[in-house]
Amino acid sequence: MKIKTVSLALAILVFTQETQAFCGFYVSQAPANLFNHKSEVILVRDGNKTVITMSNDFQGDVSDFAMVVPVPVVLRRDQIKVVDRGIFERLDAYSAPRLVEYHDENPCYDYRYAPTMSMSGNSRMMEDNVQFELQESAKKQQVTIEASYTVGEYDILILSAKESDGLETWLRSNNYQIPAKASEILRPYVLSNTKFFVVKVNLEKQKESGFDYLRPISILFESEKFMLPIRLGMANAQDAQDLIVYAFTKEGRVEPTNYRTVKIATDRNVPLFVEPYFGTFYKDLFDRSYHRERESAVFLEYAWNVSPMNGVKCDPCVSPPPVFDDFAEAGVDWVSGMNAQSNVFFTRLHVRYTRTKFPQDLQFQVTPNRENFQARYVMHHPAEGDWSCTAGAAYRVDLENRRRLEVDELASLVGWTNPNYKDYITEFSVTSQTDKYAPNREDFLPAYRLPSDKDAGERGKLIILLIGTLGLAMIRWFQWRQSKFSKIA
Amino acid sequence: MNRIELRVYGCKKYAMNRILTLPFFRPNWNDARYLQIFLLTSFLLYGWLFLGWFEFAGIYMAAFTSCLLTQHFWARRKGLPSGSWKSAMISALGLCLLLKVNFWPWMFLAGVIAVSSKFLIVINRKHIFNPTNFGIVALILTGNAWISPGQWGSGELVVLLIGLGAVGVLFQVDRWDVALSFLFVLFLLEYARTLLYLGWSWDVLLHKFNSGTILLFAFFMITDPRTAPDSRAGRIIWGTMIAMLSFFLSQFFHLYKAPIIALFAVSLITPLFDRIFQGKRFQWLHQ
Repeated sequence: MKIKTVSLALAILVFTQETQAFCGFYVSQAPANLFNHKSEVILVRDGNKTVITMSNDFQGDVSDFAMVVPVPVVLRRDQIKVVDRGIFERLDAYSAPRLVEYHDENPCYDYRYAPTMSMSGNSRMMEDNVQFELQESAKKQQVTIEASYTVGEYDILILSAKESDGLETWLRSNNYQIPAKASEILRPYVLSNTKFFVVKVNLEKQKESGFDYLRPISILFESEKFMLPIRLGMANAQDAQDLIVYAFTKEGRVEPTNYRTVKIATDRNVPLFVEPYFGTFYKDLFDRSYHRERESAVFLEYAWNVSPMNGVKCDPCVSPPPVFDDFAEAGVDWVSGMNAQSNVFFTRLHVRYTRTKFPQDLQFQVTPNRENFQARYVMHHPAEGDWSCTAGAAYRVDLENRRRLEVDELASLVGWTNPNYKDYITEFSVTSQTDKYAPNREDFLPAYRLPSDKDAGERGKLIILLIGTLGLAMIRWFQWRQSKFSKIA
Repeated sequence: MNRIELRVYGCKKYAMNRILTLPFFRPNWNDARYLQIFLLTSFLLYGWLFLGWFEFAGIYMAAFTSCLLTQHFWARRKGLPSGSWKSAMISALGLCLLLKVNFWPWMFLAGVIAVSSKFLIVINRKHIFNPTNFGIVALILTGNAWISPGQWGSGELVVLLIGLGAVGVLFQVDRWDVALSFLFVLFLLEYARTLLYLGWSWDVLLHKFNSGTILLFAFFMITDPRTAPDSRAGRIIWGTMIAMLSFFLSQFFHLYKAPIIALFAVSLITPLFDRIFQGKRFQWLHQ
């Protein structure tokens, strides 16, 4: 059965978004429940130089916005930039998990398809109202305002504190509603001599700027530390939070050093009826992987060499790969028109973290690993036309087997079941029946593991344990026997 | 074995003795290296199959081949007993477990460098560097290899397995003192800084020690009986120094590779330890 490759890819933004604060916690006046559910960050690392760009999808009254981020040094005015939000959308579209399709060739004769491209996006934002005011009473609480800038539509203060209590008091007296345990969380940062980058919106500048949303902030600094202080962001979060990291380096892949990195399942065959539900599919797949890895892993979703001189920057290309302008926006400063030989490597990591499973801040390292990776899910369309020739019978058998595998794969990857799925195995044109195959997401087991895949992993571990114990016992027996006989002889 | 012995010891024991002289049973099973090879292989299999480290077995093959070939080459030149392949095997397993490379030739190079350092960098007829450690440091300096400290995750099962395995080996070679002094001092220093001074909570501290990498390092790398100092007092001080240097490098220079570098650095003064603290040099059991 020959397969003719045609690429059709869907890029999906898969998570609902509520209010966002990256690496800082939202502080507000009203005692509202604030959830940080998803943040996006661009990290650029070159030697000891780090650039962090934090996306900001705050929806609500801009006068209520406030953010606190720990930084290792006092930043200069030229180290802080406001960038356009588009860079996040472009990077997300470029590296998001993708669904591709192949069309089977008719076993009786062959014919050609014209390639088609289509994209669809899916994201929801929920609004949150936050009241905000600023006052200054720094001296009394031993908080020093190291610097004060206005960058774009933001008023930025860089604070250093001698004591976390002082900082907490200062924040509270300026009517920041910080969570109850804030000073405990702030204490390690204060004692490590970390500065605090406090941001609020300057209302006149914001009106002048003409944007009706808050733009991302980018900071640059030199430090041996290459980390993201996620602990601070857990302060006012009861649920798990998602973080997507887009990293650019010269050498290769970025990975955390204190948590396990797992490649998300990729190159799997999925049934055709997944197409309209791909967003939900990936969301469920991520959920299950997250639970399978006991909620304590960081997932790799994309890694590719995007150097200007590198030929293939994606395969299939869902959307344009980052180019010189994008690099400049992201903070990659070693590539320009003159310097096009330089290497740039892009990594996309996705971590869902909670307080219990991620007690330490994420520490990263740059590795020379230049292996390309993408999260790709494959649909196979059956051959069109009439295939009732002799080769067609064998093709039919292959097709049914493949479809059976696809349905099993679906159950093990995302846990979807539906009694109608058995019809899919023999039904060769699915286009008009999407609702028939809608996933029964309420029906699948809430334990995130079907009995079948629970056994697979655990059985293997048990076998290794058994072999291990047997082997150890054998070696000890040999030793005992030997010592016994050497005593005799 | 003859008829007199048959009469003296009886049928069963005579038979056992005869069996034990068969080729398969001739190895000296009290050689702790068999146990260590078995344990390291199990860890490698577990990591490869269940933690998803590599898809490409060729890199592991390259490590085994290069270590064994290099050992064979040098052993013939130096006239070593034929059991020395076990040490090379342990070095190869250590490289497979710790070192990550893009292409197998780099792993091959690591094996050659690691095993050769055992024969070339020798003071007073004792090699200074743990071969695996030397190979890792050399390859990282070339910029084409790396280590993944987080590759084990932090499961309690991992800790238990490694711990249990370690107990078996370390008591046999009587090197548990290095491992314990290293871990104890490191824990103490981390406790003081992380908990007392900085004010993080207990789970942050435990998370640092729940990592399979630090345990493998403590139980299987620094405890190498041929490169650690000969006397117990020397070993305890040596282990303490490695812990202190590792703590210092990781906390104040933010080097995640701190333990590996610390071992490398402190190994440079192992001959000094052997001069000051005299002790019996360790010998593997041979056939």
